[in-house]
Amino acid sequence: MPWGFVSDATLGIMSDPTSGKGAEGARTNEPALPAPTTPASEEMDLVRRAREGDMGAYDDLVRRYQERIYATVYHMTSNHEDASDLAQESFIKAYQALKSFKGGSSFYTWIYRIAVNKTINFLKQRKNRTHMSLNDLDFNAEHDPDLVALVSDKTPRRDAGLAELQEKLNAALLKLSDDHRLVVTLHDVQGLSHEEIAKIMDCNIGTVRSRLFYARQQLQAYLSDYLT
Amino acid sequence: MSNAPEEFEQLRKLLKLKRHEQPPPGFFNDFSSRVLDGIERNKAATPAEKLWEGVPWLARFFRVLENNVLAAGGFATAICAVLIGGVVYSEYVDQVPASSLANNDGAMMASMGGSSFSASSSSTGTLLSSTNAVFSSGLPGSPFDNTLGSLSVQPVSFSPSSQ
Repeated sequence: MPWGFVSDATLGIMSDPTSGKGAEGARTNEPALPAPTTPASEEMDLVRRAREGDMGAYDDLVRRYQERIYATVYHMTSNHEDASDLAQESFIKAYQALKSFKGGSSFYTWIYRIAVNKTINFLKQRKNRTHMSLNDLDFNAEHDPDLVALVSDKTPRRDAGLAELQEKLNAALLKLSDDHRLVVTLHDVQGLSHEEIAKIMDCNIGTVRSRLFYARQQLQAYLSDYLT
Repeated sequence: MSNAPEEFEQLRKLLKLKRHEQPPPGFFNDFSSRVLDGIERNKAATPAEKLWEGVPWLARFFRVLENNVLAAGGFATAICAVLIGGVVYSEYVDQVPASSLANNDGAMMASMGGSSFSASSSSTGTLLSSTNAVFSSGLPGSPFDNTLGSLSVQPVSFSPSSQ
């Protein structure tokens, strides 16, 4: 089961009403990760207790969102070590800033925004000194029909073909600007809706759509050799 | 501009590859405990360390100095220029006309010791100059107690003794 992917349906987030269908990320035959079944009130209770110094409550919050936060940061950096450090620092910073969390958005959106800002600042400081440290592909990758179709039949080993594809894909993503890479990560990789992305990126939905379109165009050009 | 799914169908399929990337096994087993350890470390940070974290612009400034030799050299030159300028300015201020000292001897003695002095020096007609470092503090037991009243200026004559 691929991790780090959450469909809009499971999140309970309203999909884009103008698209005429559910959010694109929800159109998948893959089973999504278990949705956060915790109601918002229970989450706010955990936040309140963490604010009062209950470290067990904050530990609970970290465990709920650690995979998704790590995944977002990893897809942005294509580096496991950096993603690990940044994800930890995001949760630490979120704890220090708990008093400023007013509850206007969900804790999930709020922690996402902290992680995204921290990652973008990190990437700006690193500038063009990119160094990939890619995670391995899980067992299911070789059996994903969509991916199998993309790997050439002439490749003697399918796993080698997928590894090359993975490297080229990550290299192409790193060529995008941080904002464009982020919107592709949040929408096409993690399955968030335009509305949720707009909240996280603090921009309007039109900006999200235009960035997504441009990013996809760029990626299509970079990866034309691998797209039939 | 259209984000219609069919337009980027192949690309979206390729992007699904990212969902299959997994961190090393067991990575998340102790992730939350590492976060909590980091929080505890921050709580135990010294005030100096917290101050450093509180002024990230200063940390960035020093990082620039570390990475850029020219910037570091320029900064050091500026610091030296300020120091030298300060020394030169203080020298300039210290050049007070000698005539003003004779009229301000009382004020000068008060500023030098911070304690009261008798005005016997003026009654004996002595002339105190800025080079005269010996004067009575007015305190009992001072080795210079008896010198102030008996100060007098006499012309110096030196003549080798005839033998």
